[in-house]
Amino acid sequence: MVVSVKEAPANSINLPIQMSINPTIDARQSPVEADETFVVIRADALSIYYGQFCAVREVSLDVLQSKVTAIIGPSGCGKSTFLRAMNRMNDFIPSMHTEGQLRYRDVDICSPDCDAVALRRKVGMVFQKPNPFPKTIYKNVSWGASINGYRGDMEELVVTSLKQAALWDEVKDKLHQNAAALSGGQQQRLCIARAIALQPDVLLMDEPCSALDPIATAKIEDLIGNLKRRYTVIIVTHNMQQAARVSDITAFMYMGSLVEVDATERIFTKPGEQRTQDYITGRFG
Amino acid sequence: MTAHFVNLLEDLRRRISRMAGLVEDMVLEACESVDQADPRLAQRVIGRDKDVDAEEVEIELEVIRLLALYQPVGSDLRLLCAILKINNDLERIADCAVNVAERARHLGANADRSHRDRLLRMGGAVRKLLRQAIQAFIVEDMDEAKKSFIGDDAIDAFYLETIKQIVAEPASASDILASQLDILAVAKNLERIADHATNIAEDVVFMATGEIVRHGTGNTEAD
Repeated sequence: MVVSVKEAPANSINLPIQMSINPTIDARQSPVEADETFVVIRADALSIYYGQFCAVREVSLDVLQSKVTAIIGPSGCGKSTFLRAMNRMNDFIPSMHTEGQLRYRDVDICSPDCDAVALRRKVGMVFQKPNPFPKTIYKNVSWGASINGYRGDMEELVVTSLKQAALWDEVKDKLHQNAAALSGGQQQRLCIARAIALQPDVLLMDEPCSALDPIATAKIEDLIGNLKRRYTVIIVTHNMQQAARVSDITAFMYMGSLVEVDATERIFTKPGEQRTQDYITGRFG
Repeated sequence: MTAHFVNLLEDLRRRISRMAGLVEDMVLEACESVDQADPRLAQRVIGRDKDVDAEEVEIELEVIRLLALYQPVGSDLRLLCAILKINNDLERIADCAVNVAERARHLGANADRSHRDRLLRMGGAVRKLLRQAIQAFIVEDMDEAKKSFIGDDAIDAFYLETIKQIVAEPASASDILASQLDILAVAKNLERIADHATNIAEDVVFMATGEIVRHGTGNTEAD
């Protein structure tokens, strides 16, 4: 696959550490303006260590705007570590350190000057297990925006976020009930709505369907297809059929290294590397 | 699960290879029935068609079962897609062999020797082409598959020559005309067998490389 990419233009939207979350001024929310050759996140020879152990080894990868990029690979290959590095979730592991570069637009993510909290507003994350706050559905969605000083119409933000997360129709009559009463699939979509409410640029998903049944999984997969019109999505999954279904680009990692990245269709029909071929056909891993 | 799936793929590969052998035998006997004007031989070819039809259905069901249960990707997916198509081509080849055998029964000993000799040479070339395509599938040999593409031109030339010779002959009595129509039908069915053999060779190229070389394009599916 030939993917031409563009560097961030000089007048691109920078990531100021104090970001506005007023939707009226955030041009990135407009799906019609998405440039699918624009690199949103760039890893350049990125290595991530836990103490002496190298979990991610010199990975270089461009994540393109408004595309769904899937990262696949066997357990322990470093895919979740790589994903978590994109919004500095690895900071909570004391022995972790990085080499090389990881950039979100024109921000050096690994730099000590990068405000990780501000970064996480723009690079949101959805985890493996749904983790709603023990509060009402409404509060779950509005919480992040309210503590960040959102000045717009909160009700509109909640409704919009729930609609984008394909949950509105199911919860519109019980917004003030506890989120714990929702099903697992609904809770996961609520977590996506919660992430969307901060109007992120990128959504990281770490095996978002692994705790869900097939019907809830199908809803999340449909949702991912819709989300990519507005957000850049990066998903780590063990489910290769899911990667094949939802992603535009697939990266295969093995033992910390990036083996191959290409159009998903090509990876799952005619991969270029024998190790990819062996992994996707279940010959190892 | 993986080792089990690999074994199932190998079983399927062996099964379609056996079917290919059966179809090859039918083509051989159909050609011999033209040569020897032997109605019993022709009848045997016709009788074996039901075995091929049944096997074609069984193989197709097994491919569908494996696709549904194992959702293969990469080379395994290409193998199953190729088997699905080769299975269909083999069944059609068997039908063509039956058509040749039926015409051979009508032909009897009346056919002009020069036409009969040409059909035999054509049949030999068709069987060689079919053997190359099947061999290419069994051993995934690209060189063997590519030979099939070249061989098809020679078969087409035999077919055109048959038409030309018959058209050049003077107006005939009705029994001779019937014989000429049988000869044309045999030539047409041999030519169709060669086309199906070429399809098999093209599917082998796809199976091994992922390249689609149908219609002389040589395009890859991902381009």
